[in-house]
Amino acid sequence: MKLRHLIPVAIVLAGCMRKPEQFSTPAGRDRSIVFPVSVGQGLIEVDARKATYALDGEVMRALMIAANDYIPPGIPNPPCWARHEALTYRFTRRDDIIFVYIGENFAYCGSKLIPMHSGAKYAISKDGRILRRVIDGVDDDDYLWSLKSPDGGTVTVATASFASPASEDLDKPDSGILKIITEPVDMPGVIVWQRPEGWTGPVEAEPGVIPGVTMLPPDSGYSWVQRDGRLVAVPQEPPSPGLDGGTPDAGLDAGSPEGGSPGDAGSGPLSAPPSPPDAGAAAP
Amino acid sequence: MSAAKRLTTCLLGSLLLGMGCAPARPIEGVWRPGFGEDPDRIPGPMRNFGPFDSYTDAILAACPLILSKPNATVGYLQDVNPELAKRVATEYCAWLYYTPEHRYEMSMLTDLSKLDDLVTHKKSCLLPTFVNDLRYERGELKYIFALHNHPFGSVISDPDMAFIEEMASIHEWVIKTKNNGELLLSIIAFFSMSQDPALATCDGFYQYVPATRSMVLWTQTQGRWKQEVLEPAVWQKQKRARQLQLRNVP
Repeated sequence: MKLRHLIPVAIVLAGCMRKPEQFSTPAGRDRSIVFPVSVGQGLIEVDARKATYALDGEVMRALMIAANDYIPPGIPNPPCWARHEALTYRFTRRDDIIFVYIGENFAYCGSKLIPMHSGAKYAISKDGRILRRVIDGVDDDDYLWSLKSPDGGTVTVATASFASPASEDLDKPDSGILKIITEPVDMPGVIVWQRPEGWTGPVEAEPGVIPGVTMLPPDSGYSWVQRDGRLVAVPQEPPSPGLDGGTPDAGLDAGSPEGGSPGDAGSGPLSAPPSPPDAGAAAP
Repeated sequence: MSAAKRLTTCLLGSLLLGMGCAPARPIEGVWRPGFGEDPDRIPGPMRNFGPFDSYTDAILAACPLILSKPNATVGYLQDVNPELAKRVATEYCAWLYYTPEHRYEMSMLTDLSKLDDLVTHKKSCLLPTFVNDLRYERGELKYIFALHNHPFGSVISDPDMAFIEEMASIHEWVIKTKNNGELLLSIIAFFSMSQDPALATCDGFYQYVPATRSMVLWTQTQGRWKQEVLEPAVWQKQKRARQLQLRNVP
């Protein structure tokens, strides 16, 4: 084959040449590893201008593994965001596992725009294997729940799926609970979920009615007040039975911006007192 | 797995891999800032979409539209080839906004993770702060829902919530609509549980409302919608990038 015949092939292959890819390091999926929810004795910000720090090699290697997995080496002329100095790093060690949290420092590159989600966390063994990697928006994370315990206190538990266990199932082997958390929850980025006060289970919308949740109809009988730093729906007066059937204009059609949809006026989302599930919602 | 199914998966994989090395082709309704365009203003409205009189109709229309874009949902690939799923998964995002005509419109979609996203594939979407709708002045539009898809069906996470809180420092948290209706700014993540890439059903969405600090999981089964409400009992927010930068200034 003559050289000129090879040129098109070479061009095609060059077009297909694999770019350095993120997250290409082999990673385990050990779901028995639960990422720490506590910073331990404190979250210390390293400021090398003020003090001198020593780092052991195993931690350093774990940081390098995580950084190179998040932004792989070999990117030609990397833009600002694709450089290790444009990332933030946090780490803690529990026994033989080093946990590394990578974030993106958008402002470092002068970016006004921020991605909807970003970052990843790693559990890396002291011999340099990624035991578990959770890429935000891609990998299944664990979930934390605050449950009311029978004695009136609260207990925090971790589960593998996004389903709140029932507090009466705490001791059952099939409760889905991975771990009962006894340490304080103060690790950045960690969320503990709870059911709102008065929660009675999932609310089913009326047939044909589609959700939207954030509207408070003017005629709902509720108004928003600022309480504990957030908006809470409170009744302007005791809810009247007239709310029950919905208002003539309420619903999806006929300008439902003012109509509302399931949950608008009552249940859960706005923390309003329980009301009939179809309050504010009209039949299709 | 049957031989036929294996062959289909193999062909599908080859096709997707092939797409990975093909130059990016414009996708209908998807915008990427061109030379000289302001990257922080996404054009709107989306053609052949709306306007709607109700935001619920707009959500209903947006959900299947976004999920039908290429690789907007990859659940069907996750068990067969998780690495491929990770490589091809694409997030699209858009603003749903309220116009002075009291109607609900959607901006174009964008699939950009980074403005110079040519070297690696990121899975997050970069939603411009503003919509550029030439019919209106900049300050006339009200921003209601930051819409996007979660290709893996994942739950709204800390950075998602931080994103909408950041937006809430720029846009209004509470939007007044006509006749004194009040609407709250929120972020919505659509998901599909479909195992058929050609039929990405809108199976539900997560919605986080910063003003009420509530998270709602909406799920749809055969046209019936169910909502489950959660709220963060504890949310240890990560330091915002801006704070980090300020501290780095000597």
